[in-house]
Amino acid sequence: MSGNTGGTPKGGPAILFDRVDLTLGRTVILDQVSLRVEPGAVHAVVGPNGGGKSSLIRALLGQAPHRGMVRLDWPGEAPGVTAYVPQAVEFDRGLPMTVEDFLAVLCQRRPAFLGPDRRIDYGAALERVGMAGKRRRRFGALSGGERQRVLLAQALIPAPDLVILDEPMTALDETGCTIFEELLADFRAAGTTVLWVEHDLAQVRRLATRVSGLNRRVLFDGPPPAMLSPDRVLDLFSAVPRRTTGNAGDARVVERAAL
Amino acid sequence: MHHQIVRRAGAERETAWVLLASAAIIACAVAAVGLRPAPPPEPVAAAHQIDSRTGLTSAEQGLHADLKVAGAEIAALLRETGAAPKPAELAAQALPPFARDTSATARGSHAWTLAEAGHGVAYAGVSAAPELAGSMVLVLDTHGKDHAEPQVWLKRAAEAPPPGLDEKTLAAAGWKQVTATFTAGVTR
Repeated sequence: MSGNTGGTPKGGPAILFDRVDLTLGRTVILDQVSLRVEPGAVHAVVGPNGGGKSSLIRALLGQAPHRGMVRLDWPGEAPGVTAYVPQAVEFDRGLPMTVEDFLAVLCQRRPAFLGPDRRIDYGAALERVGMAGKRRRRFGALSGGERQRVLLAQALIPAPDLVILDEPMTALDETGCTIFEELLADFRAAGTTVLWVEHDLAQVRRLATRVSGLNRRVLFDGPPPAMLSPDRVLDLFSAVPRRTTGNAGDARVVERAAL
Repeated sequence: MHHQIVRRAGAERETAWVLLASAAIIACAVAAVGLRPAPPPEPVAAAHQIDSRTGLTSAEQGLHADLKVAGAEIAALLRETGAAPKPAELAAQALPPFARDTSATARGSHAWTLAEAGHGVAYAGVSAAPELAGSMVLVLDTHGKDHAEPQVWLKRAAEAPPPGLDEKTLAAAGWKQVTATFTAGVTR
Protein backbone atom coordinates (compact mmCIF):
# COMPACT_ATOMS: atom_id res chain seq x y z
CA MET A 1 0.00 0.00 0.00
CA SER A 2 2.97 2.25 -0.41
CA GLY A 3 4.23 3.19 -3.80
CA ASN A 4 7.99 3.33 -3.91
CA THR A 5 9.86 5.18 -6.59
CA GLY A 6 13.09 5.24 -4.63
CA GLY A 7 15.12 8.16 -3.44
CA THR A 8 15.69 9.62 -0.03
CA PRO A 9 12.93 11.48 1.80
CA LYS A 10 13.12 15.07 0.75
CA GLY A 11 9.99 16.50 2.26
CA GLY A 12 6.40 15.96 1.40
CA PRO A 13 4.46 17.24 -1.59
CA ALA A 14 1.75 19.85 -1.75
CA ILE A 15 -1.63 18.44 -2.78
CA LEU A 16 -4.00 20.50 -4.85
CA PHE A 17 -7.62 19.59 -5.40
CA ASP A 18 -9.03 21.96 -7.99
CA ARG A 19 -12.79 21.91 -8.53
CA VAL A 20 -12.99 18.16 -8.06
CA ASP A 21 -16.36 16.60 -8.83
CA LEU A 22 -17.24 13.01 -8.20
CA THR A 23 -20.57 11.53 -9.17
CA LEU A 24 -21.24 7.84 -8.77
CA GLY A 25 -24.42 6.85 -10.57
CA ARG A 26 -26.69 9.79 -9.82
CA THR A 27 -25.25 10.46 -6.38
CA VAL A 28 -23.08 13.54 -6.09
CA ILE A 29 -20.25 12.55 -3.75
CA LEU A 30 -17.97 15.54 -4.22
CA ASP A 31 -19.11 18.88 -5.58
CA GLN A 32 -16.51 21.41 -6.74
CA VAL A 33 -14.06 20.52 -4.02
CA SER A 34 -11.07 22.85 -4.05
CA LEU A 35 -8.50 22.25 -1.38
CA ARG A 36 -4.80 22.79 -0.93
CA VAL A 37 -2.68 20.69 1.40
CA GLU A 38 0.58 22.43 2.19
CA PRO A 39 3.85 20.48 2.09
CA GLY A 40 4.72 19.04 5.47
CA ALA A 41 1.29 19.78 6.92
CA VAL A 42 -0.78 17.39 8.99
CA HIS A 43 -4.01 18.16 7.22
CA ALA A 44 -7.12 16.65 8.72
CA VAL A 45 -10.37 16.22 6.82
CA VAL A 46 -13.44 15.98 9.00
CA GLY A 47 -17.09 15.61 8.15
CA PRO A 48 -20.15 13.49 8.61
CA ASN A 49 -20.50 9.94 7.34
CA GLY A 50 -21.13 9.90 3.60
CA GLY A 51 -19.63 13.36 3.29
CA GLY A 52 -17.08 12.19 0.73
CA LYS A 53 -13.97 11.99 2.91
CA SER A 54 -12.98 8.51 1.80
CA SER A 55 -13.95 9.38 -1.78
CA LEU A 56 -11.58 12.33 -1.66
CA ILE A 57 -8.82 9.90 -0.72
CA ARG A 58 -9.83 7.53 -3.49
CA ALA A 59 -9.66 10.41 -5.97
CA LEU A 60 -6.20 11.27 -4.67
CA LEU A 61 -5.14 7.64 -5.11
CA GLY A 62 -6.47 7.61 -8.66
CA GLN A 63 -9.17 5.08 -7.84
CA ALA A 64 -12.21 7.26 -8.48
CA PRO A 65 -13.65 8.58 -11.75
CA HIS A 66 -13.38 12.17 -10.63
CA ARG A 67 -13.59 15.32 -12.70
CA GLY A 68 -11.43 18.32 -12.10
CA MET A 69 -7.76 18.28 -11.22
CA VAL A 70 -5.92 16.47 -8.47
CA ARG A 71 -2.27 17.43 -8.51
CA LEU A 72 0.71 16.51 -6.36
CA ASP A 73 3.55 19.01 -6.38
CA TRP A 74 6.60 17.05 -5.36
CA PRO A 75 9.80 18.80 -4.35
CA GLY A 76 12.58 17.53 -6.58
CA GLU A 77 12.38 15.98 -9.99
CA ALA A 78 10.51 12.76 -9.31
CA PRO A 79 7.50 11.66 -7.29
CA GLY A 80 8.38 10.42 -3.84
CA VAL A 81 6.92 7.64 -1.73
CA THR A 82 3.20 7.62 -1.00
CA ALA A 83 1.93 5.57 1.90
CA TYR A 84 -1.73 4.69 2.37
CA VAL A 85 -3.29 3.38 5.54
CA PRO A 86 -6.80 2.07 4.91
CA GLN A 87 -9.59 2.19 7.42
CA ALA A 88 -9.62 -1.57 7.71
CA VAL A 89 -8.33 -4.49 5.74
CA GLU A 90 -10.53 -7.27 4.47
CA PHE A 91 -8.81 -10.36 5.71
CA ASP A 92 -9.53 -14.03 6.19
CA ARG A 93 -8.68 -14.68 9.82
CA GLY A 94 -7.89 -18.30 9.06
CA LEU A 95 -5.15 -17.47 6.58
CA PRO A 96 -1.87 -18.94 7.86
CA MET A 97 0.11 -15.76 7.44
CA THR A 98 2.39 -14.10 9.95
CA VAL A 99 2.67 -10.37 10.53
CA GLU A 100 5.97 -10.41 8.70
CA ASP A 101 4.41 -12.26 5.75
CA PHE A 102 1.69 -9.64 5.63
CA LEU A 103 4.24 -6.84 5.50
CA ALA A 104 6.22 -8.74 2.88
CA VAL A 105 3.15 -9.01 0.66
CA LEU A 106 2.60 -5.27 0.86
CA CYS A 107 6.09 -3.83 0.93
CA GLN A 108 8.51 -5.89 -1.13
CA ARG A 109 8.87 -6.66 -4.79
CA ARG A 110 10.25 -10.14 -4.12
CA PRO A 111 7.41 -12.68 -3.95
CA ALA A 112 6.34 -13.06 -0.33
CA PHE A 113 6.33 -16.89 -0.50
CA LEU A 114 10.12 -16.73 -0.92
CA GLY A 115 10.27 -15.13 2.51
CA PRO A 116 10.77 -11.58 3.71
CA ASP A 117 13.33 -9.44 1.94
CA ARG A 118 16.36 -9.14 4.24
CA ARG A 119 17.17 -5.67 2.91
CA ILE A 120 13.92 -4.34 4.33
CA ASP A 121 13.91 -3.85 8.08
CA TYR A 122 10.42 -4.99 9.03
CA GLY A 123 11.52 -5.28 12.64
CA ALA A 124 12.26 -1.56 12.94
CA ALA A 125 8.89 -0.62 11.46
CA LEU A 126 7.08 -2.99 13.82
CA GLU A 127 9.09 -1.60 16.71
CA ARG A 128 7.91 1.91 15.91
CA VAL A 129 4.30 0.78 16.23
CA GLY A 130 5.01 -1.26 19.37
CA MET A 131 4.68 -4.66 17.71
CA ALA A 132 8.34 -5.65 17.95
CA GLY A 133 7.75 -9.03 19.58
CA LYS A 134 4.88 -10.06 17.34
CA ARG A 135 6.43 -10.34 13.90
CA ARG A 136 5.97 -14.13 13.92
CA ARG A 137 2.39 -13.96 15.15
CA ARG A 138 -0.38 -15.13 12.87
CA PHE A 139 -1.98 -12.04 11.37
CA GLY A 140 -5.49 -13.42 11.78
CA ALA A 141 -4.92 -13.89 15.51
CA LEU A 142 -4.19 -10.19 16.12
CA SER A 143 -6.71 -7.92 17.74
CA GLY A 144 -8.29 -5.12 15.72
CA GLY A 145 -6.01 -2.53 17.30
CA GLU A 146 -2.93 -4.62 16.59
CA ARG A 147 -3.97 -5.12 12.99
CA GLN A 148 -4.36 -1.37 12.63
CA ARG A 149 -0.87 -0.91 14.03
CA VAL A 150 0.49 -3.35 11.45
CA LEU A 151 -1.24 -1.27 8.78
CA LEU A 152 0.56 1.76 10.18
CA ALA A 153 3.83 -0.18 10.10
CA GLN A 154 3.46 -1.01 6.41
CA ALA A 155 3.11 2.72 5.73
CA LEU A 156 6.58 3.28 7.21
CA ILE A 157 8.28 0.99 4.67
CA PRO A 158 9.95 2.65 2.87
CA ALA A 159 10.05 6.03 4.63
CA PRO A 160 7.12 7.92 3.10
CA ASP A 161 6.98 11.48 1.78
CA LEU A 162 3.19 11.52 1.70
CA VAL A 163 0.99 9.61 4.13
CA ILE A 164 -2.71 9.17 3.46
CA LEU A 165 -4.61 8.01 6.52
CA ASP A 166 -8.25 6.91 6.38
CA GLU A 167 -9.63 7.03 9.92
CA PRO A 168 -6.65 5.25 11.46
CA MET A 169 -7.68 5.85 15.05
CA THR A 170 -11.04 4.11 14.76
CA ALA A 171 -9.62 0.71 15.58
CA LEU A 172 -6.63 1.81 17.60
CA ASP A 173 -6.47 1.08 21.30
CA GLU A 174 -5.11 3.55 23.81
CA THR A 175 -1.50 2.45 23.37
CA GLY A 176 -2.02 2.56 19.65
CA CYS A 177 -3.26 6.13 19.88
CA THR A 178 -0.12 7.17 21.74
CA ILE A 179 2.00 5.44 19.13
CA PHE A 180 0.01 7.13 16.39
CA GLU A 181 0.65 10.53 17.99
CA GLU A 182 4.36 9.79 18.06
CA LEU A 183 4.27 8.79 14.44
CA LEU A 184 2.49 11.99 13.50
CA ALA A 185 5.13 13.98 15.37
CA ASP A 186 7.84 12.07 13.48
CA PHE A 187 6.11 12.80 10.18
CA ARG A 188 5.92 16.48 11.02
CA ALA A 189 9.58 16.54 12.01
CA ALA A 190 10.55 14.84 8.73
CA GLY A 191 8.47 17.26 6.68
CA THR A 192 6.20 14.49 5.49
CA THR A 193 2.81 15.62 4.21
CA VAL A 194 -0.03 13.88 6.01
CA LEU A 195 -3.60 13.85 4.73
CA TRP A 196 -5.66 12.48 7.54
CA VAL A 197 -9.35 11.67 7.42
CA GLU A 198 -10.66 11.57 10.96
CA HIS A 199 -13.90 11.89 12.83
CA ASP A 200 -12.40 12.29 16.31
CA LEU A 201 -12.49 16.07 16.46
CA ALA A 202 -10.62 16.28 19.77
CA GLN A 203 -7.66 14.45 18.27
CA VAL A 204 -7.81 16.61 15.17
CA ARG A 205 -7.79 19.79 17.23
CA ARG A 206 -4.78 18.49 19.16
CA LEU A 207 -2.69 16.94 16.41
CA ALA A 208 -3.53 18.52 13.06
CA THR A 209 -1.93 21.66 11.73
CA ARG A 210 -4.87 22.37 9.48
CA VAL A 211 -8.38 21.05 9.16
CA SER A 212 -11.00 21.02 6.43
CA GLY A 213 -14.66 20.32 6.91
CA LEU A 214 -15.98 18.25 4.04
CA ASN A 215 -19.60 17.49 3.42
CA ARG A 216 -19.71 17.01 -0.30
CA ARG A 217 -18.28 20.53 -0.51
CA VAL A 218 -15.51 22.15 1.47
CA LEU A 219 -17.35 23.93 4.25
CA PHE A 220 -14.35 25.35 6.04
CA ASP A 221 -10.59 25.18 5.84
CA GLY A 222 -8.16 26.62 8.35
CA PRO A 223 -6.20 26.02 11.55
CA PRO A 224 -8.01 23.66 13.92
CA PRO A 225 -8.48 25.92 16.95
CA ALA A 226 -10.22 28.54 14.83
CA MET A 227 -12.15 26.14 12.66
CA LEU A 228 -13.39 23.65 15.18
CA SER A 229 -15.66 26.02 17.06
CA PRO A 230 -18.84 24.42 18.40
CA ASP A 231 -21.03 26.35 15.94
CA ARG A 232 -19.08 25.28 12.88
CA VAL A 233 -18.95 21.69 14.03
CA LEU A 234 -22.68 21.67 14.63
CA ASP A 235 -23.23 23.13 11.18
CA LEU A 236 -20.92 20.57 9.61
CA PHE A 237 -22.66 17.61 11.16
CA SER A 238 -26.19 18.92 10.91
CA ALA A 239 -26.05 19.61 7.19
CA VAL A 240 -28.04 16.83 5.55
CA PRO A 241 -26.80 16.53 2.02
CA ARG A 242 -28.80 13.51 0.96
CA ARG A 243 -32.06 13.97 -0.85
CA THR A 244 -34.02 11.00 -2.01
CA THR A 245 -34.59 12.66 -5.40
CA GLY A 246 -30.86 12.78 -5.94
CA ASN A 247 -31.16 16.16 -7.63
CA ALA A 248 -27.89 17.97 -7.06
CA GLY A 249 -29.33 21.47 -7.54
CA ASP A 250 -32.07 20.95 -4.98
CA ALA A 251 -29.70 19.35 -2.52
CA ARG A 252 -27.41 22.35 -2.79
CA VAL A 253 -30.24 24.69 -1.89
CA VAL A 254 -31.16 22.56 1.09
CA GLU A 255 -27.58 22.57 2.22
CA ARG A 256 -27.28 26.36 1.97
CA ALA A 257 -30.46 26.69 3.97
CA ALA A 258 -29.04 24.38 6.59
CA LEU A 259 -25.90 26.46 6.82
CA MET B 1 9.22 20.72 -8.61
CA HIS B 2 7.52 17.74 -10.10
CA HIS B 3 3.83 18.07 -10.87
CA GLN B 4 2.00 14.78 -10.78
CA ILE B 5 -1.55 14.88 -12.07
CA VAL B 6 -3.66 12.08 -10.62
CA ARG B 7 -5.54 10.47 -13.47
CA ARG B 8 -9.17 9.60 -12.94
CA ALA B 9 -9.96 5.93 -12.69
CA GLY B 10 -11.47 4.75 -15.91
CA ALA B 11 -10.93 2.70 -19.01
CA GLU B 12 -10.41 5.58 -21.43
CA ARG B 13 -6.82 4.74 -22.22
CA GLU B 14 -7.42 1.02 -22.50
CA THR B 15 -10.40 1.72 -24.76
CA ALA B 16 -8.29 4.02 -26.89
CA TRP B 17 -5.58 1.39 -27.23
CA VAL B 18 -8.11 -1.31 -28.14
CA LEU B 19 -9.71 0.98 -30.73
CA LEU B 20 -6.27 1.84 -32.10
CA ALA B 21 -5.37 -1.85 -32.35
CA SER B 22 -8.70 -2.59 -34.06
CA ALA B 23 -8.12 0.27 -36.50
CA ALA B 24 -4.63 -1.02 -37.24
CA ILE B 25 -5.95 -4.55 -37.88
CA ILE B 26 -8.71 -3.24 -40.17
CA ALA B 27 -6.21 -1.01 -41.98
CA CYS B 28 -3.92 -4.01 -42.53
CA ALA B 29 -6.83 -6.08 -43.82
CA VAL B 30 -7.97 -3.28 -46.15
CA ALA B 31 -4.43 -2.82 -47.41
CA ALA B 32 -4.00 -6.55 -47.99
CA VAL B 33 -7.27 -6.80 -49.87
CA GLY B 34 -6.71 -3.57 -51.78
CA LEU B 35 -3.16 -4.34 -52.82
CA ARG B 36 -3.85 -7.92 -53.86
CA PRO B 37 -3.40 -8.17 -57.65
CA ALA B 38 -6.68 -8.41 -59.52
CA PRO B 39 -7.45 -11.84 -60.97
CA PRO B 40 -6.33 -12.20 -64.59
CA PRO B 41 -9.05 -11.24 -67.06
CA GLU B 42 -11.05 -14.11 -68.47
CA PRO B 43 -9.77 -15.30 -71.83
CA VAL B 44 -11.94 -13.78 -74.50
CA ALA B 45 -13.21 -16.29 -77.01
CA ALA B 46 -12.12 -15.63 -80.60
CA ALA B 47 -14.78 -14.59 -83.10
CA HIS B 48 -14.90 -18.07 -84.58
CA GLN B 49 -15.24 -19.76 -81.18
CA ILE B 50 -18.20 -20.39 -78.96
CA ASP B 51 -18.12 -21.34 -75.31
CA SER B 52 -19.45 -24.80 -74.55
CA ARG B 53 -20.94 -23.76 -71.22
CA THR B 54 -22.55 -20.46 -72.06
CA GLY B 55 -23.01 -20.48 -75.86
CA LEU B 56 -24.79 -23.75 -76.50
CA THR B 57 -28.39 -24.81 -76.21
CA SER B 58 -29.09 -27.77 -74.00
CA ALA B 59 -29.41 -30.10 -77.01
CA GLU B 60 -26.11 -28.82 -78.36
CA GLN B 61 -24.47 -29.30 -74.98
CA GLY B 62 -25.65 -32.91 -74.97
CA LEU B 63 -24.38 -33.48 -78.50
CA HIS B 64 -21.06 -31.85 -77.67
CA ALA B 65 -20.58 -34.07 -74.66
CA ASP B 66 -21.46 -37.16 -76.66
CA LEU B 67 -19.17 -36.15 -79.51
CA LYS B 68 -16.22 -35.76 -77.14
CA VAL B 69 -16.75 -39.30 -75.89
CA ALA B 70 -17.36 -40.58 -79.37
CA GLY B 71 -14.19 -38.84 -80.57
CA ALA B 72 -12.11 -40.86 -78.10
CA GLU B 73 -13.94 -44.02 -79.15
CA ILE B 74 -13.40 -43.35 -82.86
CA ALA B 75 -9.72 -42.56 -82.27
CA ALA B 76 -9.36 -45.92 -80.56
CA LEU B 77 -11.14 -47.71 -83.43
CA LEU B 78 -8.89 -45.84 -85.90
CA ARG B 79 -5.80 -47.12 -84.13
CA GLU B 80 -7.18 -50.65 -84.04
CA THR B 81 -8.47 -51.00 -87.58
CA GLY B 82 -6.61 -48.22 -89.40
CA ALA B 83 -9.81 -47.06 -91.06
CA ALA B 84 -12.36 -44.56 -89.92
CA PRO B 85 -15.65 -46.24 -88.92
CA LYS B 86 -18.66 -45.16 -90.88
CA PRO B 87 -21.51 -43.40 -89.07
CA ALA B 88 -23.76 -46.34 -89.80
CA GLU B 89 -21.33 -48.66 -88.06
CA LEU B 90 -21.17 -46.35 -85.09
CA ALA B 91 -24.96 -46.17 -85.06
CA ALA B 92 -25.05 -49.98 -85.06
CA GLN B 93 -22.84 -49.91 -81.96
CA ALA B 94 -25.43 -47.58 -80.42
CA LEU B 95 -22.73 -44.95 -79.90
CA PRO B 96 -24.33 -41.60 -79.29
CA PRO B 97 -24.85 -39.26 -81.02
CA PHE B 98 -24.72 -41.52 -84.08
CA ALA B 99 -27.29 -43.94 -82.72
CA ARG B 100 -30.81 -43.35 -83.96
CA ASP B 101 -32.58 -43.18 -80.70
CA THR B 102 -35.08 -40.89 -79.05
CA SER B 103 -32.45 -38.55 -77.68
CA ALA B 104 -30.97 -38.13 -81.18
CA THR B 105 -34.46 -37.24 -82.39
CA ALA B 106 -34.93 -34.83 -79.54
CA ARG B 107 -31.59 -33.22 -80.33
CA GLY B 108 -32.36 -32.42 -83.96
CA SER B 109 -32.12 -35.76 -85.80
CA HIS B 110 -28.68 -35.09 -87.24
CA ALA B 111 -27.75 -36.88 -90.43
CA TRP B 112 -24.14 -37.93 -89.94
CA THR B 113 -21.71 -38.41 -92.83
CA LEU B 114 -18.03 -39.27 -92.89
CA ALA B 115 -15.90 -36.63 -94.56
CA GLU B 116 -12.19 -36.46 -95.26
CA ALA B 117 -10.54 -33.61 -93.50
CA GLY B 118 -7.14 -32.07 -94.24
CA HIS B 119 -5.25 -33.98 -91.54
CA GLY B 120 -7.68 -36.65 -90.56
CA VAL B 121 -11.30 -37.60 -90.59
CA ALA B 122 -14.42 -35.62 -89.82
CA TYR B 123 -17.99 -36.53 -89.08
CA ALA B 124 -20.49 -33.95 -90.25
CA GLY B 125 -23.96 -33.98 -88.83
CA VAL B 126 -26.56 -31.85 -90.57
CA SER B 127 -29.34 -30.86 -88.30
CA ALA B 128 -32.94 -31.35 -89.26
CA ALA B 129 -34.03 -28.86 -86.63
CA PRO B 130 -31.48 -25.99 -86.37
CA GLU B 131 -33.64 -24.21 -83.81
CA LEU B 132 -33.05 -27.15 -81.43
CA ALA B 133 -29.43 -27.81 -82.25
CA GLY B 134 -27.25 -26.54 -85.07
CA SER B 135 -25.30 -28.68 -87.47
CA MET B 136 -22.13 -30.09 -86.01
CA VAL B 137 -18.78 -31.35 -87.23
CA LEU B 138 -16.41 -33.59 -85.30
CA VAL B 139 -12.88 -33.19 -86.63
CA LEU B 140 -10.31 -35.80 -85.64
CA ASP B 141 -6.67 -35.10 -86.32
CA THR B 142 -5.26 -38.52 -87.13
CA HIS B 143 -1.89 -37.32 -88.39
CA GLY B 144 -0.95 -35.21 -85.46
CA LYS B 145 -0.37 -36.40 -81.93
CA ASP B 146 -2.30 -39.46 -80.80
CA HIS B 147 -4.09 -37.63 -78.07
CA ALA B 148 -4.99 -34.50 -79.99
CA GLU B 149 -8.34 -33.29 -78.74
CA PRO B 150 -11.13 -33.79 -81.26
CA GLN B 151 -12.54 -30.50 -82.44
CA VAL B 152 -16.25 -29.81 -82.56
CA TRP B 153 -17.64 -27.14 -84.85
CA LEU B 154 -21.15 -25.76 -84.88
CA LYS B 155 -23.32 -23.78 -87.25
CA ARG B 156 -26.93 -23.02 -86.52
CA ALA B 157 -28.20 -23.91 -89.99
CA ALA B 158 -29.22 -27.06 -91.79
CA GLU B 159 -26.20 -27.11 -94.04
CA ALA B 160 -23.24 -29.34 -94.63
CA PRO B 161 -19.76 -28.03 -93.81
CA PRO B 162 -17.57 -26.73 -96.62
CA PRO B 163 -15.03 -29.17 -98.04
CA GLY B 164 -11.55 -29.11 -96.66
CA LEU B 165 -12.73 -28.87 -93.06
CA ASP B 166 -9.82 -26.88 -91.75
CA GLU B 167 -10.15 -24.02 -89.34
CA LYS B 168 -9.97 -21.26 -91.92
CA THR B 169 -12.58 -22.62 -94.29
CA LEU B 170 -14.96 -23.54 -91.47
CA ALA B 171 -14.57 -20.15 -89.84
CA ALA B 172 -14.98 -18.41 -93.19
CA ALA B 173 -18.20 -20.33 -93.81
CA GLY B 174 -19.61 -19.09 -90.51
CA TRP B 175 -18.95 -22.17 -88.41
CA LYS B 176 -17.91 -21.78 -84.81
CA GLN B 177 -15.51 -23.96 -82.87
CA VAL B 178 -16.94 -25.17 -79.58
CA THR B 179 -14.36 -24.52 -76.85
CA ALA B 180 -14.28 -25.11 -73.16
CA THR B 181 -12.76 -22.31 -71.11
CA PHE B 182 -11.87 -22.57 -67.46
CA THR B 183 -12.79 -19.37 -65.69
CA ALA B 184 -13.60 -18.24 -62.16
CA GLY B 185 -17.23 -18.99 -62.97
CA VAL B 186 -16.50 -22.72 -63.19
CA THR B 187 -17.51 -24.27 -59.92
CA ARG B 188 -17.50 -27.92 -60.81
